[in-house]
Amino acid sequence: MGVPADFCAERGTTLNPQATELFAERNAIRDDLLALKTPKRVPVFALFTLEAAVGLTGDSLLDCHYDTALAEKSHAAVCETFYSDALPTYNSRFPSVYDILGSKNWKLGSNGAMQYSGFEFMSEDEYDEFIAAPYQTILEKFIPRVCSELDADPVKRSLVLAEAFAEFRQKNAEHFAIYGRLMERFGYSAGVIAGPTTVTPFDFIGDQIRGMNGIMGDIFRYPDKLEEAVRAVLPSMIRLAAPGARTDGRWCFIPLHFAPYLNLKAFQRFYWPLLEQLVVDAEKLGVRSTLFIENNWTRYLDYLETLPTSAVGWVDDGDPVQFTEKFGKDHVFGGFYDPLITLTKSKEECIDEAKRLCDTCMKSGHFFFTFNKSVMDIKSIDIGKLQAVLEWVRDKAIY
Amino acid sequence: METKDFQRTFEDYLADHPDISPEVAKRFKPTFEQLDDEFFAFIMANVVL
Repeated sequence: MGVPADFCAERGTTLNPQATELFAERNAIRDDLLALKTPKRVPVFALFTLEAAVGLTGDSLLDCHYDTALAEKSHAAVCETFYSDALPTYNSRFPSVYDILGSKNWKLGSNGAMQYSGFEFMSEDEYDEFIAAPYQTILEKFIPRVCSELDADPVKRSLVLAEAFAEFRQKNAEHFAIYGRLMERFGYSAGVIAGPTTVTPFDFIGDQIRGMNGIMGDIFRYPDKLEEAVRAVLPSMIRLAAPGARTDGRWCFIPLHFAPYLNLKAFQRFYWPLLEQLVVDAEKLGVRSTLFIENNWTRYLDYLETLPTSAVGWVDDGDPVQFTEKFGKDHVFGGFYDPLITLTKSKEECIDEAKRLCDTCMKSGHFFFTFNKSVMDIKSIDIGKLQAVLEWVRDKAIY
Repeated sequence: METKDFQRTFEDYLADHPDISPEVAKRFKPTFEQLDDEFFAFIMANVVL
């Protein structure tokens, strides 16, 4: 996740021969998939977070956050244990940065897991100010509210921000170096989840600025203000997706959140037009989007299928038949498979489930196999059964 | 991008530093803009995302 698409291609000569061969095969499959040509087999993209990875090594998650060598050992353990055609492990949040900032919305739990606590940055009577200048309002008003260490005089605020920014760049550099080494060692292709993360304007305001309670009430109490606000933050969301000058071949990742909780009228007014615009405008800037389609979007398939064909869908839940017939007709998609079933079903039943899914979704020719969500706890799965499932797809899901 | 509010563009920066030669300005522009994008991403990703 987050690994530059051409990383291995640019460094092909440094790969060991076996990894080079694997990379070439996997990349050819990925290239066909992304070109909407039927690849020779279904690619397998397993996904485990650092929280799950440490379960394989027995190290402390807390230690891994602060010791990059330990984190690398855990990430490597995932690669050694589970088959995947792309890097199957990642870490997306760095507690040290939140520590420095005194973050109130993201906190480190005693078990080492990052915990989100709903936090309302903006009161309902601040919409006008936010709509007029979103980034300015975030910098001047919201940041001091959400980060205790930035609720300070200008000198301290500057120093804290500089320290946090330096730590963020350092952690990113260390983790990308880990991902690069693992990609070289295991011959992974770049997969389909890469690039910076952005979100839809509605999710941005609902997840953070107004909080879930706030935004759900605002739909009815302040619909005009909310509509203006989602339009006002769209440029910022596009900028997150497509930083810098236009160059082709880039990606962004868009986790979708609130839509399944909205009625159709609210979806049509506040959510869909901005999501569509985000994907379309990112594409115009040379950025391809991978959407994490969280929860069940089956009732919104008529909308999803109108997105540019460059958009890739990672589907959490829903009807695989309808997804195949509609979205999958002109788009690359994958997901649905719940790895948690390995705890309660036999190995044969787990493989049968994968087989049924592949039988349905392979009809599109554009299907990749992945989990419905990243595995976040190694105890939530049966390692042996999940290994068998991934290897079955690799060996048997052949066109 | 059209995130104009509170954004100091490279052109704003150059207006404050008219002594910088056009050749140097041309070479410095990508660095300035990359840092600006990185900082924007840092603020959004770590503070409000």
